[in-house]
Amino acid sequence: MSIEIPLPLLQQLHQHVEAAYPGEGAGFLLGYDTGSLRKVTSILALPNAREESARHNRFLLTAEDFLKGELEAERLDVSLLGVFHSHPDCPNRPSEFDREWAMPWFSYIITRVDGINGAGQAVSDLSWRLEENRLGYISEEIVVSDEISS
Amino acid sequence: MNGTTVPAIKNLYQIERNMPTLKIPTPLRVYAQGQALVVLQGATVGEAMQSLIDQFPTLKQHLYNSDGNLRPFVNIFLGENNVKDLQGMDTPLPENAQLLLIPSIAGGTGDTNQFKASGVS
Repeated sequence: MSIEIPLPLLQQLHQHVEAAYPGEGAGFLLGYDTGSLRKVTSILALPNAREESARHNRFLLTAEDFLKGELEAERLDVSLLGVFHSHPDCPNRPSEFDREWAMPWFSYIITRVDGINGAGQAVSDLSWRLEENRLGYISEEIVVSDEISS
Repeated sequence: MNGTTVPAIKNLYQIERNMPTLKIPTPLRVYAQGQALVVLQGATVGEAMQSLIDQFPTLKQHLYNSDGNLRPFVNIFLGENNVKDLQGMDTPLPENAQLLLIPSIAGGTGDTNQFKASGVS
C-alpha cells in the first residue's frame, strides 16, 4: 500500500504546516486512485478551524471545508484522497484522538514539525490508513516523485 | 411487455422521484457500491439513515459508535441546514428531500499517548 506525491506538492504541504507552527496545520490531498495506484495531484491547504488555544495539539476542518474539498476535486476531475496534518514537536503516529475521528479509505499524511531556532521545520512524513475495523492503522509508504503529472 | 409493466414502472419512478436522496462523501462511497447519490426511504432523517444502513450495512460502523450514536464527525445537512440545528434525527423530510452527509475532519496529537498502529514496530 502506497501513496505517491510529487516533491513540489510535498514541499507545498511542508510550507503550510511549517507556517502553522507551533499550531497544527492541515488540508486535503486530491488526486486519483486506480486501486493499485494512489497519486496526489494537488493539495488544498486550509486554515485550522480550532480555537487558537487548542491549535497546538488539535486541528479541525469543518463540514464547509470538506464540501470545499469535494467541490475542488470535482472541478479538477479528481477525487478527495485524504487529509494531511502536522504534529508539532511530537511523533507523527496517529493519536487515539486521530483514530476516533478518522474516515475509512482516506490516506492520512502526518508530518512531524519541530521547532528549530524558533521556527517550525518539517522533519518527517508518514502516511496511514484506518483499518477496516477502526481499531488501528495500517502504515502506507509515501513515494515522492519528481514532477506533477495528471 | 405486458399491459401492467408500464404503469408499474411509472409508479416506481414516481415513488423514487418523491423519495429522499443522500449524497455520500468520497471516502464512504466504497461502502455504497461506489455511488455518490443514493435513494432512501423514510419520513424523518432518522428513518432515512436507517434505510441507508439497511441498504449498506458496512457503513454502520463508520457512521455510528458502539453506543448507537452518530460519530462526532458525521454531519447531515438537509439542504443548507445541519439537522443538528433542526430537530436532529426527528427532523421531518419534505418530498424530494436532498440530504448531504458531510464529515468534519479533526485530529491532532491530543495527548502524549500515541496510538499503536498495526504493522509498525
